Amino acid sequence: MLSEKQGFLMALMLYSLAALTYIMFLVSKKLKLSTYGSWFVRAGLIFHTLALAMRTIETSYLPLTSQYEFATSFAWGISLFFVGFEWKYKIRSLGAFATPLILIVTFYAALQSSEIKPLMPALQSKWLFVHVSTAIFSYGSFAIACAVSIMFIIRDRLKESDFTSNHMPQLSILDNMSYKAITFGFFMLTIVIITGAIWAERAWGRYWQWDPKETWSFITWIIYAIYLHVRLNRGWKNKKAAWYAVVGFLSILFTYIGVNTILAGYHSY
Amino acid sequence: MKGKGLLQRLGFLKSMGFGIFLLVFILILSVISTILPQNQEVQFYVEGYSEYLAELIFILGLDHIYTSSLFAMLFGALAINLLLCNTMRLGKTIRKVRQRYNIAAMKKISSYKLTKPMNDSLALSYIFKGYGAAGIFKYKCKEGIYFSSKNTLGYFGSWFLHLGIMLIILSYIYGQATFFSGEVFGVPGERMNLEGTEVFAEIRSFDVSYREDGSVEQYITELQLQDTSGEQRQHGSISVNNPMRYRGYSFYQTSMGWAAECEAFKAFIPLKSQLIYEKTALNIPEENIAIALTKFYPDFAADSMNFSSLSDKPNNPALLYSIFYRNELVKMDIVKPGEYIQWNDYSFTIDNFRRYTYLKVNKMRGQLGAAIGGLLIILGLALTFYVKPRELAIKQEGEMLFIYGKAAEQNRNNSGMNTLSIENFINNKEDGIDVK
Repeated sequence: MLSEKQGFLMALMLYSLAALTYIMFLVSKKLKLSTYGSWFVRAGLIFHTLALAMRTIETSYLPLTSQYEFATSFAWGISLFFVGFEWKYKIRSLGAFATPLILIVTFYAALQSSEIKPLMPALQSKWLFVHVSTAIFSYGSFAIACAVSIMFIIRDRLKESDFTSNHMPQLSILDNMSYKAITFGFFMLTIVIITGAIWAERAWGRYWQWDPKETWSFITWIIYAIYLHVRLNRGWKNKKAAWYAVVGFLSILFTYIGVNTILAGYHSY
Repeated sequence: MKGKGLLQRLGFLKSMGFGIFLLVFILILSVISTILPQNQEVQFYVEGYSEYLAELIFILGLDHIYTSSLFAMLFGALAINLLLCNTMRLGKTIRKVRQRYNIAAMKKISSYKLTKPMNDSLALSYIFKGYGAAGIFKYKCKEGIYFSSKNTLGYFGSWFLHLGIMLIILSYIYGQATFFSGEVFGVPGERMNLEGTEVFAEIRSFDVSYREDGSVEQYITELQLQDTSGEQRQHGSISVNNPMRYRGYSFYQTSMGWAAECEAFKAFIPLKSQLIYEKTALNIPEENIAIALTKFYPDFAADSMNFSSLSDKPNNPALLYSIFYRNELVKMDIVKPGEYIQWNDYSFTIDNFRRYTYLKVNKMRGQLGAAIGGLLIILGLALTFYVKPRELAIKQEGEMLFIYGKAAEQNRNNSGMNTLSIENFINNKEDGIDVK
C-alpha cells in the first residue's frame, strides 16, 4: 500500500516532470509536450491527494497543523486550482508558469520536517480546519493569479506569432482570468481572517492582537483590497494589474514563509 | 459658498482616493510594526538607532504603533470615509435598483426582424434566457416593454461590505477603549478576587491530561465563580480553546507552572511561610533577605553543560534556588524538595510542589458588532463578486424586436444560444413552436 512519503515523492517527481515538459513546450512549441505536462500534473495531483489522505488517516486530523503540512497542502491547493483553470480555459501554456510555483512550494514542503506530532492543546479547535483550509484555497488562488499575471507580462512582450495566437490567450482574457482568481482568493482570505479572529478569541482571549501573522494577513488583504478598488472603480487593468498581482503574491509568500521564519509570534507552530 | 466648501470637503472625505490613501498609510505602519520591535524601553531605540531616527520613532509613536494616536486617527478617518461613502452610495444604489425598469438607463444590445407578431411568454423566456436571465427571474410588462431582472441584491454587495468594515473598525475601537484585562492564578483550593470587580474565583482543581506517548493533551482548570458573599455564581471547566464566560468576562486557560510551600528560619526559629510560584520569591524585608524559586525541574537531569527536565512529570524533582541578601545574590544551588537550605544564620525549605494554573480574564465589548461586521463583509463580497445584477428589456417596434441591457457583455451568458438561434426561435424557423 502507498505510504504518505511515497505519494508525496511521486507527486514531487510528477510535478517536476510537468514543469519540465511545460517549459520545453514553451521553448520548442511542440503541442504534444503540453499534453504530457497536463497528464503529469494531473497524475501528480492524484498522488498528492493520496499522500494527504494517507497522512490524514494516520494522524486522524487534516494535514494543516505544521509547516510541512501547510506547505504540502498549499502546493496541493495551487495544483488543484491550476488543473481547474487549465480544464476551464483550455490554456496549456499556463502550465509553464503555474507548475514552477507548485514545484517551489512542494520543494519547500520537502525541506520541512514531516514528523507527525500530537496536536498541541492550542491547535485542538474545529476553527483550525476552517481557518487553515480556507487559507489553502486563498493562497492557491492567488498563486494562479500570479502565474497568469506572469504569463500576461511575458505575452505582452512577445511578438505576435502563430504560437502566441494559438497557445497563449489574448491579453484581455489573461487579465480577466487573473482578476477572477484574485476575487476568489480575496473572498477566501477574508474568511481566513474572520475565522482566525473567531478562533483567536476562543484561544487567546482577543480576536485581534496584531500578531505578526495577523498583521501580514491584514497587509496582504489591504494590498488586494486596493487592487480591487482601483480595478473596479478606476479601470486599472492589464500590465499594471498584472505586476500588482505578482507583488500581491510576494506578500502572500512572506505572510506564509517569511513571518514563520523571521518574525516571532503566536503562529509559530 | 460656505455650503459648497463643506460639500467639497465632504466629497474629499468620502472619496475612494482618500480611502486608499488611508489604507496605504495603515499598510506602511503595519509593515513598520513588524520590522521595528514594539513596546521596548526608550533606551532600546536610543541605543539601537540614530538620534534622528529615534526621535522620529518617538514623535510618531512608532515604538507602540497599535496604540499610537496616529494609528487610531487613521482608523477613525477610515471609519468616517466609509460612513460618508456608504451614506452617499446608498442613494445611488437605490436609484440603480429603481432604474431596473427604465429603458432610458439601458443600452441597446441587439435587434431582430420579426416575420410574425411576437407576444408569447415562452418566447420571452427564451430570449431572456439567451441573454443571461436564466434561473429564477421574473419579467413584467410596462408600457408595452418587457423587463426582466435578477440578482438585484448584488447592487448592495459593496454597500454591505463597506458597512461591515466600518462596523468592525468601530467595534474594535470601542472594544479597545473599554477593554478589561485581569488574571486568576493559583493552586487548587485557592480563592482570589478578580481585581477591579466583585467576582471571586476559586480554583477547585487543575489537571494536565496526557496521551499514551506522554505528550500533553489538555490543561483543565475547574473553576467556581462566587460573589462577595461567597455564593456560587458559575461553575465549570476551562481548557485551552474552551473559555468560561460570565457576565461578559471570559476566562482563558493560558499558562501553568509549579508552586511550592516555602519556609524561612533564623537560627531555626520560624520567620515566615508562604506559597511561592516559580520565578517568584519569599521576601523578608525586615531581615533584608529573600529566597527565589528560580526553576523547578520535575524530572531532573544534569550533564556537564546544563540542567534540564526529562519530562514534566515529578519523577525526580529538584529545584534551583537563589538567595539574595541586601539585594545581592549570595547563594544559588540545586537541591531536592524539602532539603534544608542554609546560609549563615538563615535556613529555608521549599517543599510540597504542586501545579498552579494561570487564567487570563478579558472583557471585550463590541464583539457582537465585530461579528455582525464580519458576516456583512462576507455577504458583501459574495454579492459583489458572485451575484451580478442583470437587467434586460424587450421592446417591439413594428417588425423589429429590440433587446436592451445594462452591459451587453455581462448579459450574455454561456448558454450556447446565439442571436441566430434566438431569431430562429422567435420566427419559428427551427423549433416548430407556434409563436403568435
